[in-house]
Amino acid sequence: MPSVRLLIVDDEDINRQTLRYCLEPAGFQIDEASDGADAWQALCQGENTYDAILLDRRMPEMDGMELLAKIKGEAALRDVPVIMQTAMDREQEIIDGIEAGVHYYLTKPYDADVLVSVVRSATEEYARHCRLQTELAKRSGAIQLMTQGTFVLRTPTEADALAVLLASSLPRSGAIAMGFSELLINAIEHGNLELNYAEKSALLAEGRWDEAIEARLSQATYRDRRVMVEVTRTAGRAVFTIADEGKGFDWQAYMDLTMERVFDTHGRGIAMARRMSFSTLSYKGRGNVVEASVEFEEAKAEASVAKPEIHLKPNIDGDVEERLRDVSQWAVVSGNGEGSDLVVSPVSQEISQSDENTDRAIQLSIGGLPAATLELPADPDLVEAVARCLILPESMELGTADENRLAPALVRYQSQLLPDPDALGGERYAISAWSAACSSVSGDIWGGFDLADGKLALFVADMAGHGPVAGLGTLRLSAQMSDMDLVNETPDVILRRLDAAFKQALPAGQYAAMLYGIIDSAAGRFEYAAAGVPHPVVFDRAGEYVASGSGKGLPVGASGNFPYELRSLDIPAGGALVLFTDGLFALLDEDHKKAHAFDRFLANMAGNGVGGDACKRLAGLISAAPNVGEDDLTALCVTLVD
Amino acid sequence: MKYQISEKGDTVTAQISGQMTFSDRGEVSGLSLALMRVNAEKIVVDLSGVEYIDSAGLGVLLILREAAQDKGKDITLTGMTGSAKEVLELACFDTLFTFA
Repeated sequence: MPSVRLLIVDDEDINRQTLRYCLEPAGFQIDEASDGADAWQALCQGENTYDAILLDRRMPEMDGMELLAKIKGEAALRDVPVIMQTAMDREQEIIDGIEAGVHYYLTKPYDADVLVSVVRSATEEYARHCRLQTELAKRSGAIQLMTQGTFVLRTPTEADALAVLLASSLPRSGAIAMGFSELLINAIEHGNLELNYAEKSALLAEGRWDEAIEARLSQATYRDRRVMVEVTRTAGRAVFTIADEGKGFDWQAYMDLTMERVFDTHGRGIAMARRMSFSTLSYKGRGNVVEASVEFEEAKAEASVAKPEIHLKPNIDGDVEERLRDVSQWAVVSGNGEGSDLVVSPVSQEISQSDENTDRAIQLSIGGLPAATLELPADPDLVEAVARCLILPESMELGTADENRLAPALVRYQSQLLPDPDALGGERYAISAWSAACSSVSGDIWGGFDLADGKLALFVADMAGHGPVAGLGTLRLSAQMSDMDLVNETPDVILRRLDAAFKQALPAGQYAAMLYGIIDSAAGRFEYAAAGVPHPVVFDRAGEYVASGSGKGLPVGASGNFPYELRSLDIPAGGALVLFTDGLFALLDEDHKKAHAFDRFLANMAGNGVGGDACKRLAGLISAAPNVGEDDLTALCVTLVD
Repeated sequence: MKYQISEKGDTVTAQISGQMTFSDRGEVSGLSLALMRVNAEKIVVDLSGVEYIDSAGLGVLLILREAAQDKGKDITLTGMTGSAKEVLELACFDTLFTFA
């Protein structure tokens, strides 16, 4: 166990010796200072760090209160516990001390046992404080994204872990972590485990407190008791409700550190939490529910988030460079680009695959991943939109100013990627396509191209989520597919390759539900592979249902090695194949979130009153829906022309 | 979506209720941290109170799975019914998670 260091500040030599005599045998390492100035010098040297300071109030040179003020004014020293030595009857001095941040008092003359136990209590509390700070430093602060939630805990270890987690979402997290820890541990010890104040005093004096907690935690009466913490966070205010299963306690007595308990070894946690950690603190009912709130400015909580870095290669388009440099939310860095979140470089004419934009194309490489390079026309709005979606997705959340400003550029580019149904499929296929976005940018995309021997390749894809970030996913899918050999591969192999590439390139939780297939009108056959989309369906010439395939499969990008299988469906002469994303279900009825949506789709196609072939029926279904639903929609109907 | 975390023995359970949709994407970090923080070896996500899961909701489960993998833990999904069950089956999530 590392040694615990104390600084004893007292002008009386005899007092210092007494303190040393009592504390050294208990394992404390001791330094001495004979006045405030001397002590301040020892504290500021930096090489000595102290776990507690024992301070005499009355000293020549710099007195105890003056030194205390200096300690509290210094960030590195502020939290080191100060134990004030005073006489029993100096009530005003004690009150002044509490006001100035002293929580521990020693009476003169000293009782050795009390002295050791007060110092131990103060240093242990400080050790816990330091441990919480270390844990806090490891936290990302992502919990500030939580607006509501419930935690359930049982042990003091869990209490400290939760204290750190909750505090990491807030400014002044150090003080707040300590406050949470006090309240949570109180709920366990005095609430669930029903150990009262007097018992704690006795057990602490005997050094058996931890043992007693452990014992009660495993006793049948107490072991299933839990502490529940409810969190509600709104703009500028977070409220935490902590409830235990105990009998409650007389909480009023503990809201302030009072004269009666000022010399006790414990019992100051609630008063300290109230005073130093929370904006408000109140106990409810019999005292087994406590509500604590913290008020804060949102901006302060976000200040610690590191800026993402963009590396701009030389010779990128001037307008684009200017635009990217303008965004204050990221940092433009120089160097070779290694380690940058995004590298933006020009695309040379030889390797560019884009046509009229060849001379003004930009390449974005994301996180150094080979599977994550995107080529775009050098439209500053588009490049900024894509860069934001990639490295600052929160700035493109629906409804933000940047999203309003930049979403149209994504929509424009996305629409260029969609094929013209009339130009696709030659004489053999008649294609109708419907696309609709439920927000500014669609997370759906479809595509197709003519193959040799009159075959037609088609895909529909639905990126997880909605809005610009999902829309960017469609751009990335399209870019990935343009880099692949789609002509000579079967649909199952194509999905396997996309799955492997997307697993590497996309962040966790982003993926594409999709279907890729090839129609052969001469053979009347559709060969396909699916990744978690609604089943493909075949209708006959009259629009009557013939068969459905299976859309079952792990979404592309979810595992990286899913064994997609090749499936097939027969299409009768003059018949039609219908492919769609699940956004179509949202148009069917208000029950689309209930089970059997696919069956309701078939029933609607059979009897929606429109009649005619499958394309007419599908058009009827879509046009009958009052608005676009809650999801992006893509639907394709491909009829085999006789 | 609402959730409640509880721990018993070597298992931590997240009981999720309501709908798991795009609008819940902000909750995932808190849920993930709450589940991974505890020392329990097994993670159970109880979906019996979930009425509906959309594509972003599936993404939430994938994020949890990734966080669990980092800690060398497995996630078991239980209690799926209705459309949530259909969606999870269509997306072959039984290949990524243990269904119980």
